[in-house]
Amino acid sequence: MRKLELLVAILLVVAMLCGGVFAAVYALGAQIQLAAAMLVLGFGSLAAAMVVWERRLMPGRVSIEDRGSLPSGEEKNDAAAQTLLAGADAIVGRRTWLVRLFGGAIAALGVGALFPLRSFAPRLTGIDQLSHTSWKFGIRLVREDGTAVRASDLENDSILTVFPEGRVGPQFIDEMANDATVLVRVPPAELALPPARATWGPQGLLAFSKVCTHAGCPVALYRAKARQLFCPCHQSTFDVRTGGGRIFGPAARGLPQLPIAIAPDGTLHALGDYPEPIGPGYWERA
Amino acid sequence: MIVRRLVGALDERIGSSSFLKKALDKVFPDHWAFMLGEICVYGFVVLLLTGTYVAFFFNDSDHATIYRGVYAPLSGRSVPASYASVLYLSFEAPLGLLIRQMHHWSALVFIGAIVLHMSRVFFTGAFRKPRDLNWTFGVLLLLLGIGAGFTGYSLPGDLLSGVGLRIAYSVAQSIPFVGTWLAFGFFGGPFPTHEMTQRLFITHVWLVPLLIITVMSLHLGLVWRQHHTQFAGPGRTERNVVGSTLWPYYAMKSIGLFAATIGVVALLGGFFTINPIWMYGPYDPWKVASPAQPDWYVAWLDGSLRLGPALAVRLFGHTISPLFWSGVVLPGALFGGMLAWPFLERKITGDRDAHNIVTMPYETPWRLGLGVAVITFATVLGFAGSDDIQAKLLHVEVEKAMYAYRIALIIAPPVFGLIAVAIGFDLRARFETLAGKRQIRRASLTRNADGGFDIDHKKATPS
Repeated sequence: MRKLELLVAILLVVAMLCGGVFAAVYALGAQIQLAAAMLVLGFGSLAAAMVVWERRLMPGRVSIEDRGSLPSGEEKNDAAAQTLLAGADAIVGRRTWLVRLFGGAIAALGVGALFPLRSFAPRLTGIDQLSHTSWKFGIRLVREDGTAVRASDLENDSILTVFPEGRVGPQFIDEMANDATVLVRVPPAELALPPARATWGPQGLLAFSKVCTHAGCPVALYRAKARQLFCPCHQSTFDVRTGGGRIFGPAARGLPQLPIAIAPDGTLHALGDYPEPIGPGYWERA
Repeated sequence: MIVRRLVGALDERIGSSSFLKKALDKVFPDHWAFMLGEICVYGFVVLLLTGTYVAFFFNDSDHATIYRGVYAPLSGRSVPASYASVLYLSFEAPLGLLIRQMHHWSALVFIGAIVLHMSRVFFTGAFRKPRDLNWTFGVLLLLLGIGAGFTGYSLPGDLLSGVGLRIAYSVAQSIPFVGTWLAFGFFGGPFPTHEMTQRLFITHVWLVPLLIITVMSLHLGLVWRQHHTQFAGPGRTERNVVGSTLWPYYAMKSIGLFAATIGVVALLGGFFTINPIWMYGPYDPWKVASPAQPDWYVAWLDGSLRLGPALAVRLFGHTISPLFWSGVVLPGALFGGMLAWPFLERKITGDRDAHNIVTMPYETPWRLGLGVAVITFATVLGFAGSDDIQAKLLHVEVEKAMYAYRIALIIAPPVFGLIAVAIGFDLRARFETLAGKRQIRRASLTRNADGGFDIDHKKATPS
């Protein structure tokens, strides 16, 4: 008993000291591990002290308590139900039409109160904005820093993230999130584009939406050997040679391809917007 | 006698003494597994304390600002204001990083303890009537805990949280009829927006904690009203509780557990780096980190998105994206199943009685098997959430890893479940034999009027 009391006393003194040292550590430069060590040791000692104290120094532990019974019995149930019904009867009686009006009033006020929720989406001018990006005919492809991209800048199997010219910089972050396009170069002979898009890969340069059609992650990885674009989030994989066709993973659609052309000065420009909405599917998407 | 005077003064005003007496004498069963729920409460208290501290440093703005703090690699770079404020807290506020990491770690402790507590309640059948209602509150608390965690780690404006938010936005968008409106309503418009961190912040520091406090109060109130369950044992019946009283025993133990929880969280937060957002960099929506993994309690959802079928439904000019199945239907079914289980089990077994004595997991082999199968299912999904890392470590193609996980997701739950059922039946048989022997040993003899002995097998004394 004496020994255990001594043990608890030591533990409590340690906890006390830890509190003081913690304050000192804070004042002397707040070294994180030292401060944390004081918390660990201090609260650990306190916990140990409490447990030893309770387990070993306090005899006579076991008690028995009667739970009582939760159910009040049929009589009380009936009485409660009776009171409810009698009260309801006093309210309604033969005035059921008033009850209907009451319901109508509550419903109208409730529905009315829902309207301000609309303010949560201030820029909701129509869901059709999901089906457009800033890409238009003639807009040049530029890097994140705004410099124009030339066809000669990319070797085979290199990729580059590009944006529409004039739409880069901190003030255009929202647009950049959806305009982001990944430009890839592969040997032209390997291309197997759909007939309608036969000219969309000039000199083996192809541009795809960087927004994954599965969950919207940036499709940022390229597997040179297989000529595949790969999404690091959920591993959806797209074939560059077939124009972004889906070949593996949870995405259900291929990557939308941006029609591009090479100008006489070697710079690249878009021939229009993406032919379909970019990114993950949504209900209103046809 | 100051205590007597205080108690008396309070009683004269609010008539508290008979309740106080009853409360102090309230008996709590002594079993370690019954302390798991308490760790949830203390984890939540640590979350509130550390969270209030870090909230004073946080700037909920998404607007770009030039970082001019002490972290040299990002000096002069344009970052979200939220990101800059978390860097300040981490590098310049003394012990800010410790408290921030303790906040993050205590969230993991909180949700981890909920999962363990819930498993205990499930496997011992403590969710049965009259506690079926309280099981419902518990499932809601798990859901709210995950919500609190996700809205929390999505706040700092770093690359990882931005990517996670876009995934969450896309999942919301996948819901038929209302998805786009839900996503726009929460985020303010098409992703990304300049309102999102501000909305996440108020959700994280007010809405979700308020709901947690409300549901937790109901949960604890019902525990208080219904008393704890207890395992079968000598002297323990459906009508009593055997254990130690709140005052002084349980109070001492509980304060000790609170201190231990703080100590563990300090150990984790002080010595184990968590969410180092300066390593991920600020969120630029066209960039992504690889690998990109969420916290473990969201990993199973990420795994579900990875393994889910690439099945889009296109009907009458509308689209249901594959995210709907893996991000909405599957978690919905899982949580719906958990909410409904006490009522389903009652239908299946026809057992409509109230139970205060809980059973050991092996006593109900089929329930044991079901629980193991569900936990296996969630665990496979959770590990699938980092299949790319594992594939890299094991030098296999990530496609093979994904196929392996798809197969494991279908095969592993029934296999592990059935193994658990078999173990359950075996243990039950063994313990029944043992219990039979013990029963005989514990029989009590009474001298009767004829001078002989009466053997009473049922009479037992509290141990």
